[in-house]
Amino acid sequence: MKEMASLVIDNQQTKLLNVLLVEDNIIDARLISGLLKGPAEALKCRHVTRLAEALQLLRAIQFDVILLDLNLEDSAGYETFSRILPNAAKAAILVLSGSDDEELAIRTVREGAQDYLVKGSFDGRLLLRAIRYAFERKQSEEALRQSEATVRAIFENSLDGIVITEDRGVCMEANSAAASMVGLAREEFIGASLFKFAVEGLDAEWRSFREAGSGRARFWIRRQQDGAKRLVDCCFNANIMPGRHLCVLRDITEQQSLEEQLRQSQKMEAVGRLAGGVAHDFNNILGIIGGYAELLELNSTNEGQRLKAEKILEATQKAASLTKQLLAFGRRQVMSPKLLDLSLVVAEVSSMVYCLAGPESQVVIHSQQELGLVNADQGQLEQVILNLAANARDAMPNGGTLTINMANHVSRANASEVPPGEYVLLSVADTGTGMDPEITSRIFEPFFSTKKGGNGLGLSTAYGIVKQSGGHIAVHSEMGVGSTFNIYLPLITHPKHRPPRPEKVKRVDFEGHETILLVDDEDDLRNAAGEYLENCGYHVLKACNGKEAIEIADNFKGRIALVISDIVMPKVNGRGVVDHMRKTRPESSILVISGYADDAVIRHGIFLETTCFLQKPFTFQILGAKIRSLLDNHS
Amino acid sequence: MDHPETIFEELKSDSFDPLALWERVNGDMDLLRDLVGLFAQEYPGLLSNIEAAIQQGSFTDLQRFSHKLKGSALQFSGRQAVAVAGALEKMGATNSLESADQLFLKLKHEVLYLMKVLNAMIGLERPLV
Repeated sequence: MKEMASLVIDNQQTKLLNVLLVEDNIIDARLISGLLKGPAEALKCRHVTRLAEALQLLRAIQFDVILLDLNLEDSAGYETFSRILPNAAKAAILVLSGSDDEELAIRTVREGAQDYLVKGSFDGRLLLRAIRYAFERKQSEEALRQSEATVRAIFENSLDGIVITEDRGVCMEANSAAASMVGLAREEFIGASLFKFAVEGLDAEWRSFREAGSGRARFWIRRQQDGAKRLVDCCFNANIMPGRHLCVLRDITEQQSLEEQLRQSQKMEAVGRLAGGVAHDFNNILGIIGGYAELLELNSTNEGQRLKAEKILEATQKAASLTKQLLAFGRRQVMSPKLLDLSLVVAEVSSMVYCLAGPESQVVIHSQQELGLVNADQGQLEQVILNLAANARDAMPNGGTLTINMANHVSRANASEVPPGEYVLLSVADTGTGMDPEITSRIFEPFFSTKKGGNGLGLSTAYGIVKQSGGHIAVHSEMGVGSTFNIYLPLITHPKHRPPRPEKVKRVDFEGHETILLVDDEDDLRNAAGEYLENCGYHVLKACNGKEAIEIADNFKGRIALVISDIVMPKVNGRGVVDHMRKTRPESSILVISGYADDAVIRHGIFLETTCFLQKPFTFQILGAKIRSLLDNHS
Repeated sequence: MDHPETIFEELKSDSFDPLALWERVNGDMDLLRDLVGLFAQEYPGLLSNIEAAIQQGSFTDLQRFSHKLKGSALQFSGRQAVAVAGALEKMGATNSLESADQLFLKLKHEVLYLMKVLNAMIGLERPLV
């Protein structure tokens, strides 16, 4: 009795078990209930004598354990068990039998009984232990079943491919995602070797995985269905079971493509910044060279001197044109965007396109009716078209067809090479030599050229202009077939509004007598510009930085009609000068000059009409015209 | 008073194992008395049913009631009663009645003997008869 009491205490610490005793022998029933009487706090026992009663109770009550005699008044042998089983999915079944029938015992245990006890072979202690163990085993089995169901659900529904292989990489189990990756039905994949699908073999990776016990690697596989190559990221764990290895595969083909695009984009951005910075410094130098050349030309005493000055000016113009392209690539060119009909822009430059293409090539220009309008700088777009046309000509040394096509384009998610939206598509296609993928990937880099003597700025300029206009540019090329450049510009509106006609250039008189405060830290440029303006008749106050400019302005008693100021200067910068002048001399006009584009001006906190900005390098002719225009409009 | 196990030892025979029974009921005399009382009520009916099954040639009933009696005898550790009831059960299962009458008489003898020693056991608190 002491042992029993001890067992009761143990049982009190565990769950109260709800037990159903199915027994038609009243002596057995009395014995069992008597044996279980001790641990009343641990067990709650219901007794029925017939199977029908048991089934009825099981439909209403959840029992933890069923003590089942197989031979009842209304059922006998294995049938009793098989009828109880489906109605007691969560209960542990202990078969109690008067027959020491090994075959029956094994059968019932195999089918789901937790134990098979022969009457007369157990005492109370053994029975209690059997009940408790049966319950715990059933709980464990249930937990395991649920765990397996969870794992199975994850396995089946995972978007990643999950493969279990044996030692040589043969697939023993695979989910549908994995089968889909290799382009096979799951049943076909099971039994196949992973190595079969790897494009460049897996021996080294596999050896490394096996040695390390786990690892990760990226490799290409070939899809059986269509032969497509897919890049997979494989996470490997060896011996998740003896001789069984887990490979989780993720298709990262699209991800890698996006990463590559991002890297390329970042690279272009960085190169663009660099190019813009170089162009700025170069523009200042060109301004000085050009300025003095103009002065030389103006003050030349003979034809020889004038011609030499002209040559210098021509050279600076060419150099300025190059830096302009660099600025365009770096998206630092000043834009004058307006609503444009691309077909009209193309029409404007078509004669040049025909000339560029040459007599051996055919030019086809086509535009759809009702082409949408875009917001862009006409001059820049013309430059893009001419650059692409020149590129096409170079790709067709023996002639071919250059096609310019314009159409409205709607991009939907994942169905186009550009983000979703409405665009006007300008395509420039040639039937030339084409490019291999390596060249194609670098084609928009500045200074990258496959042409002898090419400066490598044409396509990079086109790239910069398109990006600055909020558009996208893409290239498709095939060796021996040709190349197509697609430019997508956001469609702003349908062509209800025609782009305004260009204003006629007003002739201006460059001469004047007003006082101008000229501020620039580049001594040579300041001096040359000052000399030119004085030659035009202006009274020029010169300052080498913002601080000096403010002092001069404060001490000058007369009216200062115009302040011409550089932006980036030591001590007080252009913004300081402009702010001071607006406070102290609000009647003075302002003209800001800079080697940077308007975005740099805005970064320095100076907000001006675009007419009050002049980008370096400029000719003194342009400076003179700008000054006259500002002063005349102001007065 | 002698220790019960010592007295049970005297009742031990090839037909009956009182110590095993005592252990099975966890030394609970009240439970044993209940069980013996129930058996006293049950066994005459079971013997009658087995005899009738033999006389009527009902193999199913022979198997069923022999099995039931065997089960009870098992719980009481009545070894010989279990063996004979098991033999009759098997005869029912194999549709054979050969020597069934003799076996039944033997079963009756063993059950009556079992009943006698069981009564002796539950009379432990009084001097054994």
